[in-house]
Amino acid sequence: MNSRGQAALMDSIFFLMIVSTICTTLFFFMVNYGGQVDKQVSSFYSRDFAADSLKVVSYINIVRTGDSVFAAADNYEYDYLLAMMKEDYADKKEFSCETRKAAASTLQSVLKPFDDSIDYAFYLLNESQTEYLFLMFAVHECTDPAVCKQSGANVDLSEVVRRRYYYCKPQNKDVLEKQVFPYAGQVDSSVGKVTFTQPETRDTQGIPFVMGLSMWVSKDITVLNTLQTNREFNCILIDLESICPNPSA
Amino acid sequence: MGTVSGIIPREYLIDMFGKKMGSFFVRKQKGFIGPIGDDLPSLVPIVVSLLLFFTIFSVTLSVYNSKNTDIREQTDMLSAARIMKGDSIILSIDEFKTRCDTVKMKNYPSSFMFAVYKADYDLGEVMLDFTNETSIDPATNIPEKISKSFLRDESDAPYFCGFQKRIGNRLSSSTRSYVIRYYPVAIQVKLNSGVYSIVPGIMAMVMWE
Repeated sequence: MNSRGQAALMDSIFFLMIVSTICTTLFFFMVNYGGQVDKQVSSFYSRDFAADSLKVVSYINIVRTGDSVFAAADNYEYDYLLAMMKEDYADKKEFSCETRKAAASTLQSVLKPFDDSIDYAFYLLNESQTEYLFLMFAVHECTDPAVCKQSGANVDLSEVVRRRYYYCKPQNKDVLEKQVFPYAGQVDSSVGKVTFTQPETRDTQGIPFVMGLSMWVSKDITVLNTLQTNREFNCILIDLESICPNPSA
Repeated sequence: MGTVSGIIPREYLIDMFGKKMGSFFVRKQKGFIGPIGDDLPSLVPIVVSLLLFFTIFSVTLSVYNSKNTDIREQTDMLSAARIMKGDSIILSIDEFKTRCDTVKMKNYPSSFMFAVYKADYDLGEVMLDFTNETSIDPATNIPEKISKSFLRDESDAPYFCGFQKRIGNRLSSSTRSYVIRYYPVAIQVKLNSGVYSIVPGIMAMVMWE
């Protein structure tokens, strides 16, 4: 009688173990279900967003002083941002102060929904990939390192972290791939193609450039904290508030 | 037990259920409580197992359904957004309305609202604009009120497109499941000087059950 009871108890304990295993499997299925699809959908969205941003940059009108259309008075002269870029390339093979400001302010408007959380690089790279015609970084920079070094939930960094735009002429075309992207985590990129024409050539003999936008979640990347002093990046600050010097003066 | 054996002969019971069953009806053994009572310790893990299994099963089913709804909302949102923004440029309110009519099918699975803002608008207010200042009549699918913050063309027509399912809930601050997305668009507007200009805008979209 005793051994019969023990056998029944063992059977039920085995049953409990089998059910526990099934429940654990169900639990892990529940926790993980949809994760991959979520990631995929987020990735689609990020890529769509980056591609749309590039399209908007190529359609947009700006004030020829480089200011945003919203900030300017009505009697200013408007042009396409892309037209100003092509004009500058045809003149000097580099972008003027006004065009740099216009590109920065346009991207600031376009990427406004994620302005607090992402950093990005906008570039125009010769299709033969030998040099950047234009490379701009938009990064979050700490204006008071002492405050930023303090850790803890009570420290409000919004007062000391500022969005800054840098125009760079790097010595090496691999700076993004080798010195930024490996430390940035997931990078969502989109590229397009534009053709610029030099003064001595005809329209049909234009030089193709890759126009790209790469975005990543803002984080502390050493090279991006020292853009102004890093000779390899060779960057200068784009000040959206200041007025560009008159080239004829 | 004696009465049982009195009604059914003992030999018959032994033949029918075997020796053990026959003895169950016939005589009481030492320490024997009863067919259920005797197995009580083994019943406890079985009951616990069944409770555990059905609880986890129902929770898993509910999470599965809820995640499926989320995924469907997000994919619906992506496909609707691709139609609404087109090639990321909106040249006129008529073009916007044509795209809106394409998306706004009668049996669309989710309710949604799309609106275009000027790029300098504070996007922290977007959900308030959709929940408090905009609503659509589920019966007619005609907007009852539209937020003043949405971008408008020169004839004061808002860049707004909405669809409310007839049996769905209205969007409110208590709506639990919704998806909100932003897309950059270039939009042609008439400036105060009378000149048309293409300016950056943000298309905000919200989709809910």
